[in-house]
Amino acid sequence: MIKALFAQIEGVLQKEFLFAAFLPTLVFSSVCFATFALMVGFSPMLIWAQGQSTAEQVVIPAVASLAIVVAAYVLSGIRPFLWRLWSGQVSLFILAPFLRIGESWTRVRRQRLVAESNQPHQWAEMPDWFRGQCAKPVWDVSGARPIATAQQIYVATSVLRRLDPSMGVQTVKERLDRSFIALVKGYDCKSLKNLYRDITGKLSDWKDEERVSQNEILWRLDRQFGRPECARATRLGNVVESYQTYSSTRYEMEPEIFWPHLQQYIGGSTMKGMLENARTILDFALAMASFGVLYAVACLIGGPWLAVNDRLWLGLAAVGIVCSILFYRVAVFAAEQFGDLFRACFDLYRFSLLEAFRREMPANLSGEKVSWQQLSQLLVYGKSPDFPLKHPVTSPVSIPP
Amino acid sequence: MKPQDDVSHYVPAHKVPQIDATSRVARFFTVLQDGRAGGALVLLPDSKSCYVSGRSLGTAVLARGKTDGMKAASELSIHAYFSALELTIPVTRTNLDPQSDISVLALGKDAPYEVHRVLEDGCVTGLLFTHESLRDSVLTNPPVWICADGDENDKYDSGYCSYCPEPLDRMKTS
Repeated sequence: MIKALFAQIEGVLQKEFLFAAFLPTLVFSSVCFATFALMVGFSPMLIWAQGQSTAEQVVIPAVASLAIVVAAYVLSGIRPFLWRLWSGQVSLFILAPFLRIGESWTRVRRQRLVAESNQPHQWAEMPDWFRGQCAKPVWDVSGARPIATAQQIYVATSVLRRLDPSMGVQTVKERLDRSFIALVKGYDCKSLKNLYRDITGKLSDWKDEERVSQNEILWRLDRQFGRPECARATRLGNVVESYQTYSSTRYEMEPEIFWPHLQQYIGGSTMKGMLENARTILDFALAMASFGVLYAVACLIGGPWLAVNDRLWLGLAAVGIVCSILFYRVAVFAAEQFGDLFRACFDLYRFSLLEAFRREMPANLSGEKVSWQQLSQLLVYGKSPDFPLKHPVTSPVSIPP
Repeated sequence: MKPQDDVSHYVPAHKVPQIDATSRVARFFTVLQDGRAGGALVLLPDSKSCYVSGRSLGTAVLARGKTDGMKAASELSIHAYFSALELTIPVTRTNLDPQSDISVLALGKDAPYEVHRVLEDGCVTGLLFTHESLRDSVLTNPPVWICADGDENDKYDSGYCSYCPEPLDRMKTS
C-alpha cells in the first residue's frame, strides 16, 4: 500500500509530468482565478475567505490542489490528441475547411521552394566567362599598347562598384564588356591587374553566395516539409512530417515501425536526456498554446456573463491568443530540435537494431536499404522473402564434473 | 632526450595544419597559407593520417594540370593525387609521452621516413619527424604559385591567376 503510494508520488514528481502537464494546468488555473478575482474584486474575495471556518480554510485549498492534479492528469492523457490537433491531423468538422486551405498553402510554398531550388546556377560560369573574354590575345602585357589613364581606370572601377547580382547575368556581362573588357582590348593590361583581381573576386563571391543560397533552400525543403502527398496545414505538422520521412528516404527504414525498437538501443544517458527534454518542452509549449486558445474562448463566451465589459473581454481574449501564438512558435522550435535528435538516433543506432534483428552487417548503403525493406515487409505485412540470419557465436558451456 | 627537446625533429601540433583527404586540392593550399606552413596532416577515411608537403602535392597538381587543364586539376580531391605524390609519410601510431626518451627511436639520415605522435593526457601535443628535412618542410613557407605572366599568387583557387587570365604553371617554395 505504502509502496503503491510512493510509486504514485514518484509519478507525480516526474519531470515530464511536472513540466508538460502540471505546470501548464497550474498556470492556467492561476490565470483563471486572477481573472475571476479581477471581476469580483480582490477585497470581497478576501472578506469571503476570512469568513470561512478553519476547517473550510483547510479543505478548500486541498480540494483545489487535488482538482489541479486531476486536471493535469487529464491533460497528460490527451497529449497525443493535442499533438495531432496542432499538427493539423485532426479533421474535426469545424476545422476541416481551414485544414484544407492550410494544406493547399503548404503545397504552394513547397512548390515555390522546389522551383527555386531547380533554378539554374546563373553565376556558376561567370568567372570562367570573364576569364575567357580577357584571355590572350586580348590580354596583352607586351608594352605595345598605350597605358590606360587614371581617369579611365577610375571610371571602370566606378562601374565595378555599382555591379550587383540583382542586375542579372546579361546586364553584368554588358557592363563589364563596355567598361573593363573594352579597356583590356585597347590598352596595356599591366595597369589593369588589380582591377581584374577585384572583378574576379566579386564574381567568385557571387558564385559562392548562389551556391550557399541554393543549399539553404534544399535544407529548408528537407527540414520544413515532408513528402508532397503528406502536406500538413500547420508548420508544426510539416516539421513533424519532415523528420518522420528522414529515415525512410535515407535508409528505407519506416520510422513509425522501427522507432519503438530503436529507442531500446539509444545508448548513453545524454541522447536519451536530450530527447526527453526536447519532448517535454514541446509538450509544455503545446499545452500552454492550447490553454491560451481555451482562455480566449472562455473570455469571449463566458466573460460577458460575469461582467458586461466588451473591451475588457476582447482585450483578455487577445492576450490569450497572443500567448497561444508565442507558445506555438516555441513548440515549432522544440519540434525542430526533437526532429534533429530523432534523425541522429536513426543515424547512430540503426546498426545496433540491425544486429538485434540478427541480420548480416551490410557492406554498403544499397545492401542496408534492402535489409530494412525486407524487415519492414515482415513487420508490416507479415510477408517477406526468406533471408539469412546471423546469430552471435556463443562460447561452449563447460559442464562441471 | 625528451621529444620536445629535439628541436631538429619535433614540431608542436598547432604548427601543423590538418585537412580531410576528401577536400579539394585547392583547399589544401589555402589551409597551408592560413597556417603559414609548408605541409599538412591529411586525414584519411580509415581514421589514419599522413603527412603531405605542399611542395610534393604542388608538383603533382602542376603535372596533372599540364595534361588535364588547371581547372580540372584544381577540382580533384587531395586523395586523388595520392598515387602521384612523391612522398606521403603515414603518421605512425607510436604514441610518445612528453617524458619519454626518444634515443631508442631511429632518427637521422638513415632512418625510415616516419612521423610519430606525442601525446599528453590523450591529446596530440606535437609530432616527431624522423628526418630533419621533413621537419623543415613543415616550418618553411607555403608554396607560392606563379602564372605565365610572372604574377605571384598565395592561393591556388581555380588554378588560374588572380591578376590575369593566365593559368598557374609554376610553383616557388622557399
